[in-house]
This record gives sequence, structure tokens and C-alpha cells, in this order.
Amino acid sequence: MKETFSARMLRVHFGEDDRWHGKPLHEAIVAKCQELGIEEAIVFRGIEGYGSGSRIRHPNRWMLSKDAPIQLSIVDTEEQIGRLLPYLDIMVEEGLVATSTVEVIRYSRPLERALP
Amino acid sequence: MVLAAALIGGTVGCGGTPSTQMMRIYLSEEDRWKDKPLHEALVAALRANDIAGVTVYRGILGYGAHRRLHKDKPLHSPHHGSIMLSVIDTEEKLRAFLPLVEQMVEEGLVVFSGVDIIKYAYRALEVDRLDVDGQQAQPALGNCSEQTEALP
Repeated sequence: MKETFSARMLRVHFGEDDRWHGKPLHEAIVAKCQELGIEEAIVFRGIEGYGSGSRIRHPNRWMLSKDAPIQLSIVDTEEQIGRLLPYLDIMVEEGLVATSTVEVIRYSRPLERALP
Repeated sequence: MVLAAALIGGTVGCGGTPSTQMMRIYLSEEDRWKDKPLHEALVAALRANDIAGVTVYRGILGYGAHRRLHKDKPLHSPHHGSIMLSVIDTEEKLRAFLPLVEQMVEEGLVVFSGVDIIKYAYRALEVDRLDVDGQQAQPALGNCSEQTEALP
């Protein structure tokens, strides 16, 4: 099945060390997105970067060190993104939030085929 | 070189030329196309269609259709992660490629957004293109003088 619609993309940049109530911040935000029924969320770990506070985030080559740059990318309607924003205001202490307008095509299998 | 040809030669955004778009394709690492990982098959197809460039990202956490949570596993274990392909080319070429995406991606999200190409430089592969000063020759941005002047 194919659906086309206009949507917003929101990207949140912060560090892997950032936490929310003892849990990694990116996990907490993804959990909040799921709770709000946000369409799509994906978290990427950068290999190097810097951001607010100008801390150089550079995980060592074995990826054992933390505080790599994290980018969380979310796609949904303006309204849904609007529902998430107040939570980001509270949860993201230091970071960057960027939004842009995008055009989306969603492909989905019929539900019965997706279930085992 | 074949890939590079796509954006060089006047198709880079100087005034009035086709707009450049970024196409992001979200899928799962488990997705397959003819027994090959879907993201690999897509990259091969993009390459075969002379699309200017693609990068595949593996997410460390994510979910999409059907709200299945994909979490990156520790090293050396099979990954079942979220994958994102980021593809850049002219809107025309990306739209022309869409029927293939439609065929190959059974479940996923394709997101289009407009981007401005500021620089598209590449090293020549077949021919050593060193100029007299021994510096790497830069391919022209499609003789786009407005673009060059706009740069600081």
C-alpha cells in the first residue's frame, strides 16, 4: 500500500551521555515518540562532532567511550511534531532541534502479512 | 566518474536549473530483495541508474511501520537495526528512480526535501588530473558562475 503526504521532519542533536531520569536521553525520547504515536523515529550515533557547549564529542575507535554525538530524526505531521515539542523542551537540556518540511511516501504491507 | 557526471555539466543549481532534492529511505536491516540486503540492492540500483550519491546509515535505535522497535545489538552479533539511505540528485532523476523504489521497498518510508548543493567535487578515477601546480584539478560546478560568486 502506498500513501503520499506532506509532513515535518524534526532532528534533535545532543550527546550520548545525556540522560533523562537515569536512562539514555535518546531512549527516553524514542519511548515518548512511541507513546505519542509518532510515525517514524530513528537514532544515529555520529563518529565525531561538536555542538552546544562546544564539547568535542569523539568516541574512541573501539566505541567504548561514550558521549558520541547523537542525532534523532523524527517524521510525522506538523500536529504530531507539535505534541512532542513541549516534552523536548523539558527533556533536552543542551542540544539543538531543527525542523523542515518534507514530502513523504509511505509503503506498508497489509497488516496480516506483517504478523508472524 | 559515472556517478559524478550526474551533477556536473549544468545540472547543479545555478539559476533556473532543476532543483536538487534529498531522498531519505527508511527501512529495516532485515529487509531483503532477491536474497540480498535491501539497502545493498538499492545502492546497486541507484548506482546503475547514475544517481549522484548515496550514503547508508545504520541507526542505533528506532522504529517505523508497525511500531517494531529496532535496537542495535552489541558488536559481532547479527544486526536488526533501522537503516536510512540518504540519496542526493536532481528532483527529476530521483522521481524517475521512484518506480524502482516502489518495486523494491515493500514496507518503509521515503522522505523528500529540497537541498542546495554548494559544492560537488570529486577526484578523477581513471585519469590523473593534476594541474601544473601539482594540485588536484577541481571539476567546474557546471560553469555556474553565480554559485561560485555566492561562496564566501
